[in-house]
Amino acid sequence: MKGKKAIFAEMFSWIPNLLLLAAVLFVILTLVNLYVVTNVDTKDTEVAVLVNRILYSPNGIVYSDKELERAYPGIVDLARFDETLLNNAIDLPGNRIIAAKLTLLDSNKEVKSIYFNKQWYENWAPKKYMGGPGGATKFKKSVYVLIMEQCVDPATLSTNKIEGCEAIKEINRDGLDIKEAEKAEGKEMDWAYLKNALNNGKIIFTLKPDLTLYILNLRAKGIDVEIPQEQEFIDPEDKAPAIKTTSGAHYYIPACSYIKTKLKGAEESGQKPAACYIPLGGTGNLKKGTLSFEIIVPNT
Amino acid sequence: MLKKRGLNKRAEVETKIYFYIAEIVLVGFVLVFLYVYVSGIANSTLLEKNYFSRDIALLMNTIHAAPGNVDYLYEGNLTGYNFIVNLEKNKVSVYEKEEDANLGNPIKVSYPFMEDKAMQVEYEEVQLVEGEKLGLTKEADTVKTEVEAR
Repeated sequence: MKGKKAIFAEMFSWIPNLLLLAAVLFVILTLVNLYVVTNVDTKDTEVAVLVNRILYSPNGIVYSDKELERAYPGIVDLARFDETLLNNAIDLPGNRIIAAKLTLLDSNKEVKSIYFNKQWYENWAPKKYMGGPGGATKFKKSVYVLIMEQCVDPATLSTNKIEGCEAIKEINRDGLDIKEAEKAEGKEMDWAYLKNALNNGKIIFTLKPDLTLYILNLRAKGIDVEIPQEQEFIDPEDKAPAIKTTSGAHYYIPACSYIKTKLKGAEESGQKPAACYIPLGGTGNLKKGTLSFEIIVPNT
Repeated sequence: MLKKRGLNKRAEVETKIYFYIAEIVLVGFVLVFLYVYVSGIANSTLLEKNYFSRDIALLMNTIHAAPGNVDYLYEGNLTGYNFIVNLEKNKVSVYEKEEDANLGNPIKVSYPFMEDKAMQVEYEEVQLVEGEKLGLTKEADTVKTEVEAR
């Protein structure tokens, strides 16, 4: 009995040693875990990728020319500035990664607001200033854009083939309503018609930065575009260099306030305009605006 | 202490030896545990899998957003780690074959990405060997992955 007591007493004397061992183990494991990185923080990159995706995606909110199969980054098509369309173009079922509110401003006046992943934006919004896991981080970004309200499709020169575009009056060089003229001629405004018009007429495009691409696309579609000497085709009014297609008699004038003004000015001065001007980018009315992003990413 | 508490000399020595053996065994356990734990962390590829899954997912986001056609060769060193990359709908998973996995524990690390509903997708599971790269392509309305020899 005495012996057992002695052994128990010896065992109890070990308790401080065991506690010390546990403390040393805890410190070693904590230090090892402290210096081992297993978490990759990609919040900033995800925000940048989302902003660029919204601004560049051809199926998103920017104006996109389906004929030429290209998007015009920086031109927000008001008809496409739609929540369902945006969430279809950037689709992730049960998205718990990122959410955003997009506000389109015209001279600091709100035009329209839409949400990307609205449900989680509203869930995370109250937690946006809470640090650590469970909270969320809010990012703000604004970019200057052009807001397209009405549009003329540069591929077909038509206003009525673009979903959501308001039809605007198009007139030809004789001042006739182009639609009426088309009806009278029994022609549809399509590529075959345009090709015919280009081959038989003289159409001059104002030169914009992306004109080369536009010409290449026209050529890819079988339309013969002649690029003349620059000085021959400088618009006397605004000195914009231009190009023309093969010569002929058919003139086609797409409508927009810019063209109408030029046409009117030319008529008043007793001259018939020698050419028509097609604003590339399919513009009817482009307004300067701002697209504001409020993006929330949950903390991990 | 043992003698004071009533054990004779022989019993005292025997008991002391048992305690010393227990002490040595305990220290041995602790050393082995620490070695296995630290070497497991040192050889772990969890960070690399986490990195590759996020990197490829962000890249897929960018590819889907491209306004034109894209043909991109992923430059990450996937062959060096013997990883399998599996792109599924809205998800990139990176993992190892069981026999290659560290400590026989093939943890799969996945990260989501956002697709464009208007696009067709053709993804496949790839394990690259030396001289191969992961190709990501967007052409017209299709986004696809393929193994390309380089």
